Amino acid sequence: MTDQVAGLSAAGDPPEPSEAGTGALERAILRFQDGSDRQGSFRLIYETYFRAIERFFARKGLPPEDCLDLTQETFLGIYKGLDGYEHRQRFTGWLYRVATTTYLKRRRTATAAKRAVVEVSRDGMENPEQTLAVPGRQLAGLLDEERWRALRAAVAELPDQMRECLTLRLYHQLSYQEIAIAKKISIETVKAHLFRARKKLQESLAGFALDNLEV
Amino acid sequence: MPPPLPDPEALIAALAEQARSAAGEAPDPEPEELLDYLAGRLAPKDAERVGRQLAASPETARALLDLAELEAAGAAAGEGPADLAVRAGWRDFESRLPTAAPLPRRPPVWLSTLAASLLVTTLGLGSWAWRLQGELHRPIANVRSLELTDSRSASEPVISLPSGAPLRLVLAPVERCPGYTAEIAGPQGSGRWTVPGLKRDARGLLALEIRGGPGAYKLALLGCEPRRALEEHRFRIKPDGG
Repeated sequence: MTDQVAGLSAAGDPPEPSEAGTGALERAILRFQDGSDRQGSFRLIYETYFRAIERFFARKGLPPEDCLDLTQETFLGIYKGLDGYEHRQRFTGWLYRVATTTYLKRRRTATAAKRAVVEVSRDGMENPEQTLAVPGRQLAGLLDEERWRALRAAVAELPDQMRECLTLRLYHQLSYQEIAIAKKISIETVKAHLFRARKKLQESLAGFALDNLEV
Repeated sequence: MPPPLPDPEALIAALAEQARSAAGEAPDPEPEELLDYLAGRLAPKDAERVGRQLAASPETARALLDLAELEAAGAAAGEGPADLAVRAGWRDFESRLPTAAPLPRRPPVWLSTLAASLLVTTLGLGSWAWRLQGELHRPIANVRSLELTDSRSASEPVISLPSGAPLRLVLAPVERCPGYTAEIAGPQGSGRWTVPGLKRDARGLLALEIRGGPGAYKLALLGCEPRRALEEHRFRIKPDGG
């Protein structure tokens, strides 16, 4: 996972929409809806969100050519649906829903195609939650009971903020910058939390092989 | 028995389990709630709940990052020229657009103004026409009138009239009835006409209009229940100047 997410500002200072940016967009949407300059106004919307929507698909682990194709498809959906967009809705939320719908539609088509050729499913690999989230009962069989209890206790003892940063880093595999955005703290604070969490765990779990744990 | 998990993976599993247990059964936040979280508009309690859900659900965390990026992009709209790849993407996208642009959802302002003006004009004209219709029922100077008020008169009134011009007949029935019917017999061969539904005006007069050629006419006024002949009038039309 890359540590750079273009266009995002690190949390602690969450992205504040500038009046010029959102104002220009609002005017473009109105011009599109009243039909006075559909192509011109849509071009501004396209150029504004192209990269963000492309990365929306990239974050889902899709290859670049699929990302581009889905991005174009999303903009086609936006173009067709923008007349029905109501200004009391948040435009970002609306865009996100259009992109999500495009993605789910593609995934349904792909799933149907997979079923047709009886291909081995790789869903487990695409969804780390299913792979990694092994319930405690099953883990009891994988780790001895005492070690598992010690691990859970050590995790539970970590301060909330520290534990959540560690979870986002190890379980969600987010970059420092992404964690900073999600937790609305600075990147330095994220690094400090991760450093301290690792140290605390090493102290609590002296017998565990966590020396090479990369956070 | 499967081999034990390596310790780092066991740690991740423990973190995931702890995160899920902290988040409970709360449904995934809606994009709008995540946007509020990003903007710091949530109450502290709700912000904590969303924070726990972010740790518990990779999908929620991804959604938050997607929304943050879209917000940041929107805030920078139109600030700089698009890069080459985006411009190329636009050209490709433009070629995919349907050629016939759909009708705009909202009509332009000038169209609404025009429609409003037309409505006002139509209403104005309608009201004018309504008043005009009333005017048309009143006697006007260029329609000749013939008063047939005395049915006992022995002489037959004669009126000069240009060919095809209307003639207004005015009657003053002695007997008061709710409605009257006039039966008019024209000059020989020109036929008979019946004009039903006549009513007296405020002055007690009846008026009807006919168009006929020169010759002798006979008008019978019928009315009341049972219906009967009330009056009979004769008159003659002669060509104007004849």
